[in-house]
Amino acid sequence: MRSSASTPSRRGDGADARGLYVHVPFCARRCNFCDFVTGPEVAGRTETYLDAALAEARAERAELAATPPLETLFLGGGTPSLVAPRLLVRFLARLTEIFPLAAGAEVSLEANPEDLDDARLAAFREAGVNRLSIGLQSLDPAALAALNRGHTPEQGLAALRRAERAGFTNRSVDLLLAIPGETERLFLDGLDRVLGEGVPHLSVYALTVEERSVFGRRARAGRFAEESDERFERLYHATVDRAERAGLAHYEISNFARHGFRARHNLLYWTRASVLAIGVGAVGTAGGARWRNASSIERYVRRAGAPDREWDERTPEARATEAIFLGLRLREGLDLAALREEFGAALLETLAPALARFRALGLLEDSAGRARLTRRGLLLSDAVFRDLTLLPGDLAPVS
Amino acid sequence: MSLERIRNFCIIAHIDHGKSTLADRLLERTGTLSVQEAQGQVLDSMDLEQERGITIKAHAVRMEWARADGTRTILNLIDTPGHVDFSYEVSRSLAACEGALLVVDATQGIEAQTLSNFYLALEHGLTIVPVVNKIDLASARVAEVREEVAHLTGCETHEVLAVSAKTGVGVTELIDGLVDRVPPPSGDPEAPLRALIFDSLFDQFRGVMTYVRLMDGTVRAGSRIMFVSTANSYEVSEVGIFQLKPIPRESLAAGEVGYILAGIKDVHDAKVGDTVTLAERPCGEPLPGYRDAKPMVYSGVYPADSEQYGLLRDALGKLRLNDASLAYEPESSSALGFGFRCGFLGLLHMEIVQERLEREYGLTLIMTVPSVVYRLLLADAEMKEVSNPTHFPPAGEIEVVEEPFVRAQIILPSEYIGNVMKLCQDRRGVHVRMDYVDAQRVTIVYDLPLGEIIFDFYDRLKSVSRGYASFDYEFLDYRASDLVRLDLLLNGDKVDPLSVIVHEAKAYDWGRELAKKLKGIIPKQMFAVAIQASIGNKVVARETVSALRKDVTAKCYGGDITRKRKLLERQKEGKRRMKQVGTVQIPQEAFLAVLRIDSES
Repeated sequence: MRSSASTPSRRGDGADARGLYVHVPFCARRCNFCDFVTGPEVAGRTETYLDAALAEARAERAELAATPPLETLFLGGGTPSLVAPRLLVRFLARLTEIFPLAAGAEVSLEANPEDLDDARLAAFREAGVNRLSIGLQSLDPAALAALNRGHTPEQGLAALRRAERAGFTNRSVDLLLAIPGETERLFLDGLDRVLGEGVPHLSVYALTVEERSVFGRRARAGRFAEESDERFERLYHATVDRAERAGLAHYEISNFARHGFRARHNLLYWTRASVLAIGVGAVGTAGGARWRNASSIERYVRRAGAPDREWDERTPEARATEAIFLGLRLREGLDLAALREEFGAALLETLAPALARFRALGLLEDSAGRARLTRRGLLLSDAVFRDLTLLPGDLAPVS
Repeated sequence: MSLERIRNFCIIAHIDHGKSTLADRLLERTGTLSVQEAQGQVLDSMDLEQERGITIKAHAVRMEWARADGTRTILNLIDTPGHVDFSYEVSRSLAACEGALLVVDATQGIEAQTLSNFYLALEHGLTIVPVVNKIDLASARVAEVREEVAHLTGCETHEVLAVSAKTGVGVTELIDGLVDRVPPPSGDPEAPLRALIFDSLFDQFRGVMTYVRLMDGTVRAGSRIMFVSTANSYEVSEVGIFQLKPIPRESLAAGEVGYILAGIKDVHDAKVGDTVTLAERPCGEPLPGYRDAKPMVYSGVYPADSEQYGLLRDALGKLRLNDASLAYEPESSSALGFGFRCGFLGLLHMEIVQERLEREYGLTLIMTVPSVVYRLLLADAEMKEVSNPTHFPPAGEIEVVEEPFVRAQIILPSEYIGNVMKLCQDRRGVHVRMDYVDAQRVTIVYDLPLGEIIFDFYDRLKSVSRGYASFDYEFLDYRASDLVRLDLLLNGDKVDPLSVIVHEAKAYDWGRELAKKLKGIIPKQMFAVAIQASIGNKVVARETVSALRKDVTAKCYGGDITRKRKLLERQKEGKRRMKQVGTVQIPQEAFLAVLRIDSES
């Protein structure tokens, strides 16, 4: 990425923007698997940060004047549920004055179970939040301790119920798959209990050892035993089976939803729609440009929400690569006709041998003009994406 | 000039016994070179030579020695390459001399190359001046080693000179001794020209500079010379002598050493060992001992990135301009694409060429398993030479296979005799004899298949003798052996660069070891990969790389997309460098694995 203070003109005027992401970087503690931009919460810090975020939003609004009312707003972190209720209410009120929401917009907030008391839940409702993404991670007390989470299994389940009582039908639960030390029984029991709560959306992530996380440091020191691929494979298949039996359709590699409850904000990413972004480390797209705000919270606040940005100058090959791997992550698959429309027939010719090979290997199947990964293909998706990745020069210039 | 006042000599020594340092000291003491200039080793002009501490290409330097009594003598030092790969070049350099300084390290004593060089010099009828070097070192065993050397050369102990090339002690006495003991050259300046080529170098501005020792006759600018082996003739543009740089002279005459420039474009037209004569007045008999330098070891040389093929072709062409013993021709491999089959004098020569290609031409290479030249008598009575395992016919078509044998001399402390004999036996060696050099050390002589020593023999020898054994060999003969071709297959497709010719008795172990190594190198793929080693249709070893079960990124949201794409791009770049056989992708290091097969384990 190129560092630059100036904005490429091709970002346009915001007319294509459909969603907005806001990064709230504060956490009460750091989880062992996390490599996100976070910092400890200190009194007063959140307030000045949110003021800076509003300043950035105003500046963005001025540049992207044609931004229509947005379909989704996502508060991610960090731990947005830590923000004091009165601050959150005020922040969202001001933010939605700057970037108005469309009728029926999805407003999501990432929450830790221990934060979800009745007062906060009520405040979230008041602020306009209509979807909670709850970081349950596991229902095994030992695994939660290993992850350095701040809640017990019971607190997790209780939070789910409280949220429902507070009117949050649209709840999503995050679970981690293949936590070291967690037995298959414990994982599957936990999964069943979550499904038994009737949550309409579920995200199940393989525990990824990020280099810059606590686990990453342990792995480098040789003190972290990853779970075997075979075990992961079994658990992944079992998860898909059980979720689908519970009425949650598998719609993306790691995501399951009841009809009407897919994560609309994340679908914008997977379908390559433009999503604006506010806050440190946040990544936005508009008019074909993509940028990432610098990560320093101090600098962000000092500069009143005018962060340094890195611009990802995407070549046609890079855009095609993203279209391919994002499309294939979705269970509905990659629309080959749309791909041809956007990048030209030569692209499909380039990909044809690899696609044929993956079909022959049973990793890919065709359904209604789309190429989609099979179950086994999903487990090997990175290997598939790698072969379908385009490098500079792979695409003849599109005329 | 009177022949009486010329001495032509060379320095012979085991590696690291101080040959180059002594040469520098001679240059300095004779005033050819200032003390400052002598700090770098002048004779080894290629970087690579200095780094490896060996002399690859021979040069000649002329010095003038003014003795304390006022007499002046011309000293021509003809440098010799110090490695067995270049033994033919060594023999031609020796043939250009009347005398040799035999240098032995006072801390090490006689080593294998001391012996082979000594006998080679003796064969050429040279007067040997034995010298013990490094007498300044605390660990020097001067008296003992002088004794040893006197015993070897058959002279009196006091005749073995003692010097320190480093400090300069004894160097004046050494030069005087050289002048006294080495006979002057003989030859008739009026006879038809007979000059021995002992080296030739290509210079992009001046063409080929041919280094010669004149045995008879005279040559001058304007002479029309002829090379006997090719009968090509050229007009001489310049003759001269070499004193760190070329110095033109009016003529060169019998007994002298110098260079000839004659507008020759290719070193292959001025081959080491050939005789130069005059076109109008040719000599009757050419000088003896000429032969074409014949490659002993062959290897496939491929660019790691197939787009570098053109660069590789050009680089080989340029190297060959200066290296008449490098042979190559295009070949192709199903796994590695287009490359060249290259012939080398030996393993060191191969390594030097590889390093020069990589370092001077910026190439990244994949070298296939080196092979010797096998002689085959086929069932249909046809004779055939094979240097590429891929071309080795099926067992049914072969009547007899012969492989080259060398006679190896190994000098080692006696406590390692057991280890070294076991190593030689494992390498199918035939014991010839064993002699005691002194109370602690022995010489073991083995006849060994060359094909067995081109695989890490030297490293193994060093390791089983804790670094104490020294080793030298010379080509002996071809002998019939039970050899088979072992192929390596991945999911049924042959990986041609991994085929080797091995002795039947070792084929199973080799196959098992190679299959096991490859299992550790070939990454898991989307399908299981069967690794098989086979002799003909018979599978002798099998391993399986199980299919990849999990390769998936769990989270991919807005902030992850760029990072994910860049990772994929990097990985795809990495995959491009992999080679493909059938549907199986192989990292380049797989082709090196076979070089690291430890056949003893």
